[in-house]
Amino acid sequence: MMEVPSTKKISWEVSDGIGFLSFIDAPENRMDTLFFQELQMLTTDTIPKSKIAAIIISGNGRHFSSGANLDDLFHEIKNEKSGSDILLSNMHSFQYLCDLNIPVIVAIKGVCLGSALELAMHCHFRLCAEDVILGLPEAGFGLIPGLGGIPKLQQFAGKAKALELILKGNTFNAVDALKWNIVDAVYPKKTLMDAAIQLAKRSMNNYRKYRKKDYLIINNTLD
Amino acid sequence: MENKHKILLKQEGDIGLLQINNPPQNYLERPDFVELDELKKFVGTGIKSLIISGSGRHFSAGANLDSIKEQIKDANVFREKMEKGNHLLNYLDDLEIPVIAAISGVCFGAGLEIALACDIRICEENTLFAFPEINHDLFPGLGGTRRLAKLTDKSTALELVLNGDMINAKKALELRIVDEVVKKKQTLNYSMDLAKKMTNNRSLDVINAVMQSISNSEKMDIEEVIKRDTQLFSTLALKSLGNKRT
Repeated sequence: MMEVPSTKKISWEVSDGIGFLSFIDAPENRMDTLFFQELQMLTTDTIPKSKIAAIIISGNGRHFSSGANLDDLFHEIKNEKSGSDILLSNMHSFQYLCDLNIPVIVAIKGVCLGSALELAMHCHFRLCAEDVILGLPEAGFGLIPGLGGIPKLQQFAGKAKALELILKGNTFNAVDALKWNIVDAVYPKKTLMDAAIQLAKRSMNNYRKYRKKDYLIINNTLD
Repeated sequence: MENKHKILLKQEGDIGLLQINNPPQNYLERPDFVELDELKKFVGTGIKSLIISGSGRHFSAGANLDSIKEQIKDANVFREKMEKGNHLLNYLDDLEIPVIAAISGVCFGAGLEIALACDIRICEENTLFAFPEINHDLFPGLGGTRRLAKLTDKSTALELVLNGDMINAKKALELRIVDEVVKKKQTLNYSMDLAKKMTNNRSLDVINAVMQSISNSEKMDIEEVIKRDTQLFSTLALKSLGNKRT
């Protein structure tokens, strides 16, 4: 296995051709300045050098992530010449994952709010546990989802639902997320990671050859 | 506030209500169904959302053909009115507050064109939709075909415009022409409640920013949308920091 610099927020392990990107700052797995620095290092250096055919993103502990650390973000925006530069560079990490030609799967359990949901929406397959709490609460803080959350939600759920969810800023559950096309499949918490690994194996050598939903039917034989 | 166009503009808290007030069918007497300047002034009072509905049972059965036939005798004047009507619907489309169509009964022709220029469409389970213009050798002249194609797809839009058939609420939901179907007589209540939940405790700055971003992603490529989203976010963040300091 290749040498990986030690990290505090995100771990990266490769096994059987699958890259496991895990948030390791449980219980909240907050996305603070260090988190985004580590994510940038992963997406610009570590992942491009890794021999992988699929990626699974998940959070250690009970929750996926409660999103960005607002104090950190405000601090950076205040001190940058152009506050939006720091956001753009964070955004590039999300876009890198979105643009990859290998399946990028996110396995969400527990809480997944704000920037965490924005990251999840940049993944190709979004699997979640029955107990998830999802939401974009930014409007409640006088802000908007600034990392691609608005166009992504609009793409998946349509204009009216996106507008409603972003302005209300309320949380929603797995059943609604599935109905609104925000997640692709819901599993019991105990089998979520297995489902993600099975999906990775099923899609890693034939990605984008089939329709998305074909990969999600467990017993579908795909070549 | 009533005018010659048979439109009521009233305000309930932060919510603006535009009511087509020509019952029972709520026929629209002219393409420019409300004065743009009057509407701009109304929006300028600081309303955070706008709900468009019809007075009584129906949203609107569309243009009053008798009245249109009368107006079209002066072709130049009528063309001007059509242009004004188009500006009006583009203005509604571009508004940086959520515009909700609360639809009941029939929603035909120009009525449907108005509804399609809104951001969110709520209708009752017995609502009927149609573009019947083709039966009079006409077509939706206020951008309805384009808006319908964007919302559904080209073939669906062509089918509805060319055969002029009616569709019910269930079919409209399936085709994504409406966003939510509610029980009879509930559309206005539901829309008011939705508007409140979306805009209560939200500043106009935030509402405008979300609306801008949504509209950007309909017009621009994703790189540009993202660049502008990050700028909108920074502006709001700096404003929020400023507020905290004082």
